[in-house]
Amino acid sequence: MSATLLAIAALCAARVQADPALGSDPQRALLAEEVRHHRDDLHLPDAPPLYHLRYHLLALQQASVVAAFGAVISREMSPATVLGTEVRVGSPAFDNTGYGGWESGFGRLGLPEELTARALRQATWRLTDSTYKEAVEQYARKKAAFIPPPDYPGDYQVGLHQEGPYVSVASARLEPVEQIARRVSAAFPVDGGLELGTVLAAWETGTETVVDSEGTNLQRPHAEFVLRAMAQARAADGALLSDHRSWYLRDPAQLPPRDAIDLDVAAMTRDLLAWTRVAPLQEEYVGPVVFEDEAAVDLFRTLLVDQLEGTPPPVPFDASFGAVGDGFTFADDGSGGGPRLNRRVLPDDWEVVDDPRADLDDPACFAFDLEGTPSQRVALVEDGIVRTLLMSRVPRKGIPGGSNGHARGPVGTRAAGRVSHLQVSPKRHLTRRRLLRHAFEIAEAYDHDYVMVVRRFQDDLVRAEDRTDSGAFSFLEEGGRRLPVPLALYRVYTNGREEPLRGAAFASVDRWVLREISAAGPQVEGRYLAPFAPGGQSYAPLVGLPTTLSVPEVLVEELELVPVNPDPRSRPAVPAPGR
Amino acid sequence: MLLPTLFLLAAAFPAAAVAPSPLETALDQELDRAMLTFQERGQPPYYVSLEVEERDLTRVSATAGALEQSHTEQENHLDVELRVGTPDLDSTHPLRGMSSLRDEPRRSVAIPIDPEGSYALRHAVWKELDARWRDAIERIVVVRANQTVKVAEELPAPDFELRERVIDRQEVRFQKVDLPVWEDALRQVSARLDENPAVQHSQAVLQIENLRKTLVDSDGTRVVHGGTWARVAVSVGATGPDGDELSIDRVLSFRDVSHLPSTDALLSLATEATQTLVLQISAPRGEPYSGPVLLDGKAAAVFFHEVLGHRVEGQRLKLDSEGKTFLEYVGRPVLPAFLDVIDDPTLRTLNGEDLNGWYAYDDEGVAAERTVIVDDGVFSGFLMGRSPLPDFPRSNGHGRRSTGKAPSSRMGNTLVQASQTVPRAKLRGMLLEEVKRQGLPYGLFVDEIEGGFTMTGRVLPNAFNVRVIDAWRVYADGRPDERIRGVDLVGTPLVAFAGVMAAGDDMGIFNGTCGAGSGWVPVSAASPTLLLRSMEAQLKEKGEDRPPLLPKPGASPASAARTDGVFDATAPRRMIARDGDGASAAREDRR
Repeated sequence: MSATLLAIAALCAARVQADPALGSDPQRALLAEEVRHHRDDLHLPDAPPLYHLRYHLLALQQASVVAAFGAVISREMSPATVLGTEVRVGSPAFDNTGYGGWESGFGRLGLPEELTARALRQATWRLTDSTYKEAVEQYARKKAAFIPPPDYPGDYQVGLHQEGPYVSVASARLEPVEQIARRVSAAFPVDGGLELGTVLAAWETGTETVVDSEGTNLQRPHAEFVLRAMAQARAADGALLSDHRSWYLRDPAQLPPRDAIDLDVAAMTRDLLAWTRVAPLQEEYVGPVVFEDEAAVDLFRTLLVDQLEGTPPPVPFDASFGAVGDGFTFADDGSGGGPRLNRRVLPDDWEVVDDPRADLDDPACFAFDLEGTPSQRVALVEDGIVRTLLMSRVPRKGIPGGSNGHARGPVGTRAAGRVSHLQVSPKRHLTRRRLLRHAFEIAEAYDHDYVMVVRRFQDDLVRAEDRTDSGAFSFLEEGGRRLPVPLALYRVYTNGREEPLRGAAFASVDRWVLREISAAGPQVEGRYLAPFAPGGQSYAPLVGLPTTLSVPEVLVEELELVPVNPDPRSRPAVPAPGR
Repeated sequence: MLLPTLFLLAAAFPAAAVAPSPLETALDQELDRAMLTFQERGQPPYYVSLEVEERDLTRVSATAGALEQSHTEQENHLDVELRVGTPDLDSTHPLRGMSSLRDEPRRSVAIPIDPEGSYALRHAVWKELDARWRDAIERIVVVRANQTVKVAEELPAPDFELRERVIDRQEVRFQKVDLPVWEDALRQVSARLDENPAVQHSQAVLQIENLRKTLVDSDGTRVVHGGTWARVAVSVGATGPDGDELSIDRVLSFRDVSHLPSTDALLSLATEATQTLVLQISAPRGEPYSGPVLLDGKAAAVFFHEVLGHRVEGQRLKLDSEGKTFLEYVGRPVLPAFLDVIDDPTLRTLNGEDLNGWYAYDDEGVAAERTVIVDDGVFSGFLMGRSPLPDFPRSNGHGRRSTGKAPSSRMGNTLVQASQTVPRAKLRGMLLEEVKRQGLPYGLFVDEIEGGFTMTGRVLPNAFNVRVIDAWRVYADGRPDERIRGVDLVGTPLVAFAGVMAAGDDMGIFNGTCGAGSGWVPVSAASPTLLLRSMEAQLKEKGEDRPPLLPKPGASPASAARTDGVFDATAPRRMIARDGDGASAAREDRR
């Protein structure tokens, strides 16, 4: 053996001892130490001071299963440990953030599932270094190209800090998730009637540690369970109809009894198949429309929510792409989406409140937001007018109080004030019967002896499961808003007869519709996963921010429904197995 | 220490007695059922194949002494190939012009991993078969119109080769390792990688992919085959003082987990990789260069893979957008007479090393065949799948694809063999002679490469790039060899081949994964060390970020010194390690 090889063998005899994984308290202590170290020592010549540094440590166990017709398609159990950082240089009045093009100053890095002190220190070192350099460069870009207007509200609100609480959450496990997904998917019939009979189930538990240079040092519990049973069936003319039943909970133990879920899924399937046999809408309809059940939730989700979320978007210009200030305003009267401070969004006497502490068993609720700010109940709308907005620590003109503890979003990004548990309340509720009577009165002016009632919309994410359905994401091509395609649509006559219809879609709808609500019915509640980006769209059924809406069923004075022509080519030629 | 391995038998029957699995039976039944309907509709496909991939993937990785992940997952996917029309012109024929823009990419469908899922499986097969047929009957109309509207193709050829049915159900063992043992090993190795303060990021990875493929077609072929691909990799990286992003990756590939290296061997590899990184950080960047180059065997293998291999994939010749470099070279010399090039996917090992490119059947149900590409320097043939060429009507078992892609002819194990060799130790002298003859101050020795790429079309230059990790200046005036960084080898194929001067008596093997139109497929390439009269080196792209502003946390000066003296850093690694090694004959294992 050569001398070289001998030397190698001698070295190998000295074993490296693995470091122990860190517990929760040492993690927070280490992150606090890293905050101090980087805040004090990290600087480039002539660079603005690093005035704010925050770490988020997301440590989750994720179990997810996809099953179809009683069989597991995929299963996965994996830890997800992520470090996020927020670096602000300059001053709260003007820093590197909130500038379009790049959102520099925020970063994230995957961490080992065994989080040792060495691994965590190295991650903070690498991530902070790269994020700091980006922040310094971004500050210079912003400084060079952007002159803040006199009423510029600044970029950040410092001075809030919170210590504790420190929580622990039981670990998610794969077995119950798999059992549930398999069992629920077995409720779909195997007689060839469905083109899709799929269940997605995911359980995610863990903690999110927040440590920052203002002294914040706390841990938020994270527990979400999602069960989503999705079905599709095709009508004889080729139209594909979709429906789902979804549960968004903290824990699978909160699920309804097994029989109740099975019955619910079976009923959904039965109804869906029945809807395939319904006659399609032949002519367009203009007149009053009543939104009942979950359709009411979808109406407010689509048209109201982003009018209440106040974190300003990044200044939408970039020297590379356009002129400074081109088309940009800090005012709240843009014709597109966005918040509507001091503007009417609902009829007189309506109120809207968001309360993240309303029910901490609801996955939409939280005691502390992503920035470590204690969450607050916020009265957003009084007498139909928006009086304040949901805020993160990014200031906004006209909102003197600053953050109200609604910062949400993925770690390592600029958190935004978002809806969590929203209650929309009219002063006066009618019964369903009286709501309909009121609708008939309006319908007379249109020479109708009936009104349209929507009870349920199809879900774009379920529709997208079918690759022949090119319309599922048609909002990508449209400038304006779009209500989903109705599933449960009825022509309800004055004599009480209900005639189900399919194959209809709402023509362009905008947020002004909410101001034209004529009357409100009983209160209904719905839960969904909101897209991470304010005003954005979801592209995956298990990703997003849990959000709960409590809204009334409503009558809208005038809307337009148009027939939708299905693609006959999409009808299968071969009979499904079981047929 | 040898890491214990554990074998789990997925099927306990001897090969001859393997009966159709429930999976195969379900595929069979759904195919029969669908064909009946297609016939009733008056537009039956003339060929359909269903292939299911059952994949079991284990991945363990560690960084800085901590386990990043350790998990195993299963996934099963179905791929359907359905052809309407005739073998001469069918629905898969490439479209030209604007019509090609409407083509939807082929896809795969997730099917149950659950053995209980018979209805879910049949439902998925039904839905995909039906969708593919509806696509095909539309596409054949467009294909025919496209043929009418466009000029004749340069190389008209049938779309598909019909073959005799094959029935071969092989036993496919899913290989497993003792995960806790490997987790501990990778913790140790990653801790070693991280010891040096110069290392900014590092990782040790074990990945084991077990794959069983079941192919059922409308001609009666029933093939079950598969294999295991295991890979251990250590990597270290750092940003150099000039912003250069440096990375040293050492990847070892195996087809049998009992061949996986010991922890001690991996620790040695980690030390070597770390030291190489440290030396690279301080090495000067090279400069553009044209002159003689000595390519270590592994680098030469990648050179052949890029320069020759992709240009002999037969299906490329059917596209008028392709360069068709060797179309007119059949029967003509393209290399010195002492070189042969073959592609032999039937080889499991070469010189004791497992080969990534071994397989029993390709993805079109054709048994792999040894294929001669260059014989005594003369170009003799192409790698063929079931898409024929006028003079090459038969598949030689090279129709390959990754999940969700249509198969096309691809490489397996590409071997360069020399009938006339020069002892490796003499090649350096020959390099210097040529350097002096050309009046240059130095020649290049390329010791280590990470891979490469090539462009075979007509719009961009028909050029190749071999991405170099480690290269040395070998000076004519006797100065010690000098390590350089930051250069890649570039060139064009016909010119590059004209410059091959000599081959060594060794054999370097590159195991990797090759990406092209039909996706990523595992491949191997092997070659002796080659001396080329003239090649060009160009500057490699360079990062612009400063190194980290603060020192690496927890770095100990003692650990930085540890690697010193372990390896001789003053000369190329392989030059020292293999001098006089004399491994001239390739030892093949074609089981």
